[in-house]
Amino acid sequence: MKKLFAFALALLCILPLLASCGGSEQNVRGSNKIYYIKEDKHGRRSLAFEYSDEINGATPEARVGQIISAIKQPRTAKALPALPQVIEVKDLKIRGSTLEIDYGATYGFLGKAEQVLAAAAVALSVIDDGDIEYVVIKSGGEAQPPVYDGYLFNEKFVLDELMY
Amino acid sequence: MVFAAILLTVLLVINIYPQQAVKRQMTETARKDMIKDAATLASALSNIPELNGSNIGSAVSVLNILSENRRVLVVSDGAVVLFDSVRSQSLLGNVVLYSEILGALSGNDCFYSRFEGGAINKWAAVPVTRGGITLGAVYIYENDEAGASLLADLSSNIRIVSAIVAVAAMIAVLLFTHDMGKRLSKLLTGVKEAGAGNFKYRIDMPGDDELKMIAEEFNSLSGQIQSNEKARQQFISDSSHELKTPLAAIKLLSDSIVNNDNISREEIKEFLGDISGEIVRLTRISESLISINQALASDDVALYPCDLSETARKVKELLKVTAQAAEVTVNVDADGAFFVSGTSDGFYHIIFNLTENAIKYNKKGGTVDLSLSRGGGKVTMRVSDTGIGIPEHEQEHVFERFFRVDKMRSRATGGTGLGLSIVKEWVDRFGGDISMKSVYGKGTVFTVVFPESEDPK
Repeated sequence: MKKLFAFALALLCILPLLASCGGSEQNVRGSNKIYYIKEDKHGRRSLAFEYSDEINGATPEARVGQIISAIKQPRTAKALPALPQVIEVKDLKIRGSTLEIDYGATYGFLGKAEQVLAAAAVALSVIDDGDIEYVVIKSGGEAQPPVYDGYLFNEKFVLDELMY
Repeated sequence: MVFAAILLTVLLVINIYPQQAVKRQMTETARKDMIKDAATLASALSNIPELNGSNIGSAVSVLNILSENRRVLVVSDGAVVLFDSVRSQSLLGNVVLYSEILGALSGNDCFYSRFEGGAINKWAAVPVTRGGITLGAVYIYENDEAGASLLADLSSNIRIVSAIVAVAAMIAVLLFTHDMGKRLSKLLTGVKEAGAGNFKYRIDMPGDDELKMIAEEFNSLSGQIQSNEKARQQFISDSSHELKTPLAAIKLLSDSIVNNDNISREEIKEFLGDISGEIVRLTRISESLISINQALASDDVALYPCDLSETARKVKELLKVTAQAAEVTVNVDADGAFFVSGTSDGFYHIIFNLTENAIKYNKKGGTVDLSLSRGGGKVTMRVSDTGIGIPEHEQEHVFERFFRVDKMRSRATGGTGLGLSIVKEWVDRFGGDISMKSVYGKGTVFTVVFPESEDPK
């Protein structure tokens, strides 16, 4: 009985340590948030993120490219990619702290809701990387939703549920 | 345990189902109302040339869809807030990535509700379209504390009632099982007593239900067994006594021969004649006992149609010598065949014993009439004599074993006192009925009725 008690006590002490180990879901310093679409049992879609430590490009452009690739292919099985694989990045320019992405023509075939989610996922993931503060989404040179004549930045997005 | 499980299941259903049903109803009503209001605004906005805060605000105030606990947003096709009914902490200009808005921008009417924190939160979104193109979406959020309170009250009341019902049910069950246990215990005691051979034990069962009926049946059965046991013991006692008497006589007579050196040849012959008579008597008693046993043991024997008239004629022939010796005339009146279900041996014993008795207890020059008749599906046999009759006070005992009205005459004629009891056993076995009428000094009539059987041919 004493041995069992001692074992249980030891386990209790070790458990927090074991819990702190783990993969990319933990808040590891230097990890990037990669946003994906989450769908609940009622079919309601929302944005969520997971951590990725594979974003290690030397230049901001390289990092943005890696982020966009990761957005297209999130890790966990339950996550839906916010940006479909078929969407190609035609041009990518970083001017100061502003990123301008120009997608190919296929981007226009996405529905309004898909475009909003894709733009939000890219903007939030890229801005989280640290070097970029503003994002402009275009397709074939034309501004795309959500913001046609402005910039996307972190505080522009509201993810939480609306309450009174 | 089973009852507790059933009760628990029922209470769970009572507690869960009404609440869920009311929730569903409230949700459905809320969905219809909110979608309707959102759709009304969306329809109005679809006719506005330009969606901006001012135009939208005008439309909202005209339609009067705002209320104290309601918030309305109108967003662009990029989910950017163009109008927010709440001024402080307004979301104007923000991109609101709400599930319902995203659903509406995909062209669907969306609704979602959740019960939490003492309130029902409801969200509805409807697309604003013009010419098939989605221009934006109307989004309404509502917080309903009154509805949640109503639901909470309902749940609370149901829980209270359930608790009361559960307690009352458990008390009732405990009382019932306690009472049932006591009553079953009484039954068990009775069965154990009967098993130990105590057939005098009677179960005193209160109430007026099936257990009471079982107890009464048990008591009746015990009484019957007790009577049978008593009758069996009496029969053994009587049989032993009847057998002992001739045996004692044989012993006495044989001792007289053995112990008397001066006994004459004539005396020896006389004594041996007496011994022979006692042996005949013993034999008759044994045969009668065997016959009674056969009747009692014939439950497993298959019955078949037997012709009583044929048996009657045979018996008359067999008793011809006896009748002549007693100077009694035996008449048989039986035209045709009279079939009754039974065994030929059994019917032989019935007719033989009745006829023999009628001859033995008759007067010189008397008659015995044996008749057979039919009617109403029955066969009736009558054996009447012009004999000495039976005194009235003894008539009820005539079918008892070893009973003899006139012991001296019975002994003289070789009677065993078993004849009529043998007749009754066989009559009962074949499903018949026997009755007797007698006038002392004038004669006796025995009437036996059987169900008629079909002619086997």
